[in-house]
Amino acid sequence: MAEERNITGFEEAPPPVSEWRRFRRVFFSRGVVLFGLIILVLLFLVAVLAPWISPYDPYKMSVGKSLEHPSSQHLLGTDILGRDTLSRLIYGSRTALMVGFISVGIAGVIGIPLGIIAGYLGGFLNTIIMRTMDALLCFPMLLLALVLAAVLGGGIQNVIVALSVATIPGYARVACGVTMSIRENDYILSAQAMGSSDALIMFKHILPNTFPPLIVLMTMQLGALILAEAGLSFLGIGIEPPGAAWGAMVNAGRNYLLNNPELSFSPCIAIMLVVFAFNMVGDGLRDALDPRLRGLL
Amino acid sequence: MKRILFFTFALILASMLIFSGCGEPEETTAPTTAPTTAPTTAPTTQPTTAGPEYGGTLRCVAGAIPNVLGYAPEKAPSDNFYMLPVIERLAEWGDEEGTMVGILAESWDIDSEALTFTWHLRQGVTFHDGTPWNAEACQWNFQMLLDANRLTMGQFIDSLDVLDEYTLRMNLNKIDWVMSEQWGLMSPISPTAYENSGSTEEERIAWARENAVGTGPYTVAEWQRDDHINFVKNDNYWRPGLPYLDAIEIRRIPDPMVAAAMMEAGEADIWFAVSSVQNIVDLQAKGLKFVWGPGMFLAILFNSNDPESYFADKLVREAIEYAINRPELAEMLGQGLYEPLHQMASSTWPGYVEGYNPRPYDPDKARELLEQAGHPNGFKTTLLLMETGIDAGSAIKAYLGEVGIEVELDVADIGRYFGSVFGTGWSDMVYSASGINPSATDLYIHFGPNPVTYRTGNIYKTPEYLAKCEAALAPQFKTAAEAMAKIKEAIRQAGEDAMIVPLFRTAECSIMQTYVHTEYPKIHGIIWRPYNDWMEAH
Amino acid sequence: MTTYIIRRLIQAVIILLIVTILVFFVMRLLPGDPIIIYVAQTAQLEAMPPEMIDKLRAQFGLDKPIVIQYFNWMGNIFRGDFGESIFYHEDVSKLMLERFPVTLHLGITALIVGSVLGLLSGLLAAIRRGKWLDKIITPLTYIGITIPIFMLAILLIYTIGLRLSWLPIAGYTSPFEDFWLSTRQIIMPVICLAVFSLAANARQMRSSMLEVIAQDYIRTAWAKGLSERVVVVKHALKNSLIPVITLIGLGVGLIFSGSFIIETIFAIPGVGRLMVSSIFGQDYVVVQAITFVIAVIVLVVNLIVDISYGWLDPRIRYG
Repeated sequence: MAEERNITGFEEAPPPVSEWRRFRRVFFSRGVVLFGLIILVLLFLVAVLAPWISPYDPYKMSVGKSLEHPSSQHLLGTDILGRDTLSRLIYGSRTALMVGFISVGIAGVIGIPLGIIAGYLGGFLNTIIMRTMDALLCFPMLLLALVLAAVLGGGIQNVIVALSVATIPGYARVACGVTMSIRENDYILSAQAMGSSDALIMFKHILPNTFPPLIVLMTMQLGALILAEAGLSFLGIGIEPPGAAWGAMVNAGRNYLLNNPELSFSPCIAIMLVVFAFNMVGDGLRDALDPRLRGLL
Repeated sequence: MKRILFFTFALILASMLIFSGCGEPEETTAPTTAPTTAPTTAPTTQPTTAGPEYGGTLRCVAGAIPNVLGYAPEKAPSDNFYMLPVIERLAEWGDEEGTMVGILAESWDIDSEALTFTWHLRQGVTFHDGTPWNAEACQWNFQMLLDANRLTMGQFIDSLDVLDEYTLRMNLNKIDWVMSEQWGLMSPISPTAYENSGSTEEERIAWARENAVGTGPYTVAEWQRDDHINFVKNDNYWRPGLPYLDAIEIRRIPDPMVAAAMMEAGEADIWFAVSSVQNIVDLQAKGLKFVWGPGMFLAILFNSNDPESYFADKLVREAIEYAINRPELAEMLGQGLYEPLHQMASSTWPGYVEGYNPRPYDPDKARELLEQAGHPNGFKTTLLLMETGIDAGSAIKAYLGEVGIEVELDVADIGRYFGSVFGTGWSDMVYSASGINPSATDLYIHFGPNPVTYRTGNIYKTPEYLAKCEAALAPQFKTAAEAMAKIKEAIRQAGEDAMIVPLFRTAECSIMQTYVHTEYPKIHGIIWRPYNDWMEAH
Repeated sequence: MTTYIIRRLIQAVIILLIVTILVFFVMRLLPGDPIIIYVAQTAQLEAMPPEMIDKLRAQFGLDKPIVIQYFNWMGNIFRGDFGESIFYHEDVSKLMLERFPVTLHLGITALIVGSVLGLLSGLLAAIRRGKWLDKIITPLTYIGITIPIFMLAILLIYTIGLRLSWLPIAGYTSPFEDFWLSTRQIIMPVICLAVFSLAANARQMRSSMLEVIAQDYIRTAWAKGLSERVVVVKHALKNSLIPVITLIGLGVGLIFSGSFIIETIFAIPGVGRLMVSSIFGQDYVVVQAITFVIAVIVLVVNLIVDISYGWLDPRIRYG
């Protein structure tokens, strides 16, 4: 599927992203992007500073009464076990970032080389790799994650693995598309003529060219992964308790919606804000790095 | 741009405000303040009416509907329960004391000398296809289960003899009082209808999975797998003047929140077997009617038979029991609806040993015992549980963490959980739920010498405990009541041995509109008498 | 064009083969034994001796070597036989025939709603850029792409279903049985299933429309004095559809994912709920068969999407 689509986007190598100034101008020109960026910076700060800023131990029971309403002691109330919701929300940012970044990282590390190899070497290898990726894409992402999580059991590491595998094909496709579009470019051909090994060409000349679209894809995936984690939690496969994860908190809190809506709403708003932020920053990056990616990512 | 942003979040906030504004006013009624008393009485604000009225369609919501309708060897417990309007039992518990009453059997004799169990069947009952209910039909139904190896305690039956039209004798190789309770649950279908349903056994089985011809007050009108089942009145029912309702519709609603919303919106008349505490608490404030049942028995089970396991050491098991603050746990999780347990019986249960609490909450004592056991710094272990037990598991993890035991929660999906608990066994501890029967059979079903559920052999049972169980099963006892003194000894022994850690009894109830009248699940979650249910005109 | 389609079909068969291998072996990696799970779930109160369990295992062909099992399964699929469910003791084809129409009813409606409304609102937002319509649509799309759908489902149930009593809270009725009730029942689930695609389509449509509007040939069209409708519909719309079509193709997978969650909440007896319970119950045969059918659907839709590129943009050649 990939090779037909590249016509719409990658007719030639994207220009080297040297113009830092242009990048800055485009990237910071839109208010939403800036807003997203601020949310992300705050998210990182909260995650890093969690032990210092969270008012209570997020795992400790009975720091308040069961299901307390928001008060000056507990700004977002307490859950059924008397744990402080705000503290759990703060620690949940760590889980969210960890799940997002590690999954994206693993998927990228596996998917990008596969895509480049398939695109550069072509032929039978391309068929095998890219059809496998297409096959993975035929599984709805949640199904794949569900089956994998069922194989591996709950727990954060398994959720990460499940989400990574589910997102590998996306990276492979993009990497393959970029590679195929620049494979015949002069500088690649000349490198070949000069006797550079395939591995060196792929690593030195092709890999950097795949970065702009992939960075955009990764940023947007981060948001999608956080949403997917929430979906998995709803289906009963999520971060192992009592770890604080937003998706699991939303799901656990929905039982108490009528009397303690903050239990479910506060992590829900956190998820929405962060997903929003990743999407907006992704948009901004796309416009700044390579506007031609519009419509593809 | 800023305006757009502002608008977005104003919109989110507004929607949330509308939403939370929808909730009840601030009054968060902590439902009852006395957690130890079982909520057994329904609110008394019902308008008193003259008596049962006829007619109406009862719209029910439930977490499950039957999957196999009539083919007994493949029926699960929930299939049996939800088919009660159609297929009746031989006998069942008639009250909260666990007295057995006959339904399709009028009475039974237990001869402990000759090792025979004789059923005297009810006369004048016909199946929905018009064929008579008699000893041959009874034998045919028992035989079908025996052939498929699916009759509980069937291994004790040597042969079945039809003595006359309404008498069936079972010739046994062992006898005890638990058998009458187990075999009484047998729910017969019409042998004629089954035999005529197809030319091959495969066709007949396929038919019986989707059809049921019983003797009950209703017949199946429509069934859509995993969605709904509708019953209509059987005009030729053998109990005179019954049933009251014209029809019963049971709709499967997997998500309790949705079921609660349907009850509140009046889209359903009754919600069966509710166990989610928060929904119960919420709906209590809405003026709906409640019928309470005995609930479930929640406990930690150990892998104590493996000498390598930490839990083979009684000191460790005792330490764990001391470490868990069960009254606090029950209060938090049950919001006043759960009863903390300190023995293998709840206070609603006839086998309850008054005042017996071998190990009340005492974390210092727990640490001391762990030190004695050679674990001064605690140890690491796991607790197997399902997603539904996450809150309880998190609490147990926190309690045990206080005394130095680091627990990893192993959250299994239903498949792996059942596979481990009822099949291959578990490695350390498991958070388990068992039914609470009105008689004492559950002790034997779950924790007896030959348990039907936790039969993996993971749980270590001392010779003293096993001897006391056997003593309570002696052939001279014909009912649970006769054996009760011995049963209490077995329960006390299990406590002395720290065999398991009893945690709490949960709340279970049916929630209904005020015009609905039913006794389900007052006696037990499997005792429903649909022929007695009725609705006021509304 | 024909050779292109043939080539794509061959590819699709290869992909399908890989899908079957993946799902088959992944399911068998699951810890636990479907027969034990089935017995434990259905026969809690009954003792079942090991011989019976072995007999059941043989009945479902699970006693054979795993590779043989795979080839048996594939062979049977070619004969149109998807096998027998362990849990339901029922032909999987029959189960799927009961369930797929329900999911497709919801899914196709959601796809149409998501595409049409998405495109329309994106289009409106673009041609009224910065005006009040844009200022309503754009923030709504932000909510659409960020809200977890089970939360949206719950919010809808509580507000529209319970407080306002506008729509039935849950359940599903076939449209052939009672069209009006059926339609009222599927509104909320369809909103939940469609919301992400709707918002994503609208965003995509808005931005690609804005881009197209800025192109020379559109300015030429304006300059020629053509009416707004002609410019928008005839020139701009068609050209901005390509990226949106890609999204719609991806939307099919999303709708199946969503149906796993939405069918559980709204008590809809569709294939998503069957899938979830079968994964947990390790009902191999059902999971394999449903995955197979979903893969076929996704492949076909993507094929159509790819072919439609050519229609939308003649510059695209199929090499």
